[in-house]
Amino acid sequence: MSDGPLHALVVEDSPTMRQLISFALRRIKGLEVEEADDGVDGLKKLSEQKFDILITDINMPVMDGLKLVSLVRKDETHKDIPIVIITTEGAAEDRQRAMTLGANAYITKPIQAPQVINCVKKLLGM
Amino acid sequence: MAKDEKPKKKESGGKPVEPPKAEDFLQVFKRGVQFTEELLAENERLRYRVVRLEEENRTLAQQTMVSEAYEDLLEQMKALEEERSTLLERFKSVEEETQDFKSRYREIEDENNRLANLYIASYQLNSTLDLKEVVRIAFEIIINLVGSMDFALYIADGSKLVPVCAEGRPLASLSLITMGKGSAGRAAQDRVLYVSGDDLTKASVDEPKVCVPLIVGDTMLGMFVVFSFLVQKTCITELDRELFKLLGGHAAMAIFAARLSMVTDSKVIHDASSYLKFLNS
Repeated sequence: MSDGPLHALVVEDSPTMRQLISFALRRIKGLEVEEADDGVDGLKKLSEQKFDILITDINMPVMDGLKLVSLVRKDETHKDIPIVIITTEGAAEDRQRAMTLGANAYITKPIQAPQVINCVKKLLGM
Repeated sequence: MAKDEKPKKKESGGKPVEPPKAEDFLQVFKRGVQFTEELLAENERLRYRVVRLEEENRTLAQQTMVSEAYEDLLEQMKALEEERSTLLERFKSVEEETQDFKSRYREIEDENNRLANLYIASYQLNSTLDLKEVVRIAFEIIINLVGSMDFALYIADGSKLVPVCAEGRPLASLSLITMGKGSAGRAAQDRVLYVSGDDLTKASVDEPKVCVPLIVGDTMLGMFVVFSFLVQKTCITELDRELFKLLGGHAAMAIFAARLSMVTDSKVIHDASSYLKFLNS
C-alpha cells in the first residue's frame, strides 16, 4: 500500500445518501472521498483519476450501478478496484447479480455508518 | 677366647646374661616393621576417614546453603504471588474499564450515526424552497434513511387527506383518507405518530405501517403514510422514530415554506422594507 492517502469514489444520485456515505467514509483516516451523481459522472471521474475503492448505488438515472460495475471491470486502470454496492434492493437475486458482475460487497439501505466503514476498511486492508 | 665370643655380662645376682640372639633381634625388627605397617595402614585409614568427613562436611554445608536458598525462593515466590494477585486485580479493573470504554465508544458511534442522519436529513430538507425538490428530498429520506419504497404524501383538505405524490404505487390507486377513520385517519385527527406492530414488509393501503402527521404550528398540513418497508427492514428503530419526528416538523415546515414561496413568487424575500416594518413594529 502506498504512503499517500487512498481515494474512494461514491456514486449515488441521492444527495442525502451521498452526503451520508461520504460523511461516514471521511471518518476513515487516510481516505479521501470524491462524489459522483450517477454512473456516467462516476465513469468520468474514474477516467480522470485513479481510485482505490468504488462505492455505488444501483438505481440511478442515466446509468445504473450494475452497468457501471460491468464497465469498470473492463477498464484496464480500475479492473481490480474493490466495489461496494449500497442499494435498496434487498432480494437475494439482486445481490447475486451484483456479485456476479464483479461487486466485492453488497450493503442494503438503510445503512449503518459503522457497517460501511468496516466494509471499506476491510476491502482496503486498513 | 674366641674372637667372636664376647664376654658374658653378669646379672646383678652375678649370673652372666645371655646376649640377644640374631633371631630375637630379627623378631623384634619384624615386629617393628609390622607395627610400622600397622601405623601406616591406620594412618591411611584415618586419612581416608578425614577425606570422607570433609566430603560429608561439604555436602552438609551445601545442603544448608540449598535450604537457605529454598527459603529465599519461597519468599520470592510468595512476593511474586502477591504481585501476580495485584496485577490480576489491576488487569481485571483495566479490562472492566476497557469494556466500559468500548461500550461508551459504541454508544458515541451510535449517537454520531444518529446525529449525522438527522443533521443531513434536516440540512437537505431546508436546502431549497422548490416544492418539488423539498418533496423529493423528503421521499429520499424515507427511501434511503428509513427504508421504504411504498409510501405517499397526503395533504389535508377539509376533513379529508388527499394523496398528492406517491412512491412505489400509482397515485390514482390511492383513496382519500377521512379524518378519524381507520388508523391513518385517527393519526391525522390526533396529530400523533402512528406505528403499526404488524409485519413491516406486508403491504396494505388500508392498514398502513406508519403515519407521520405534518404539523406546522397549530395546523396539520398533511401526512406521510408508509404502506410497507423494504424486505431487509425488520423493525422500527429509535432512529426511525426520530426521523419520523423530524419529517413531521422539518419536512412540514419545508413543504409549507416552499408552497408559500410559490404563492409569493419569492418577492418578499428581497423586500428589505417589509423586514424593517415587521421586525421593528
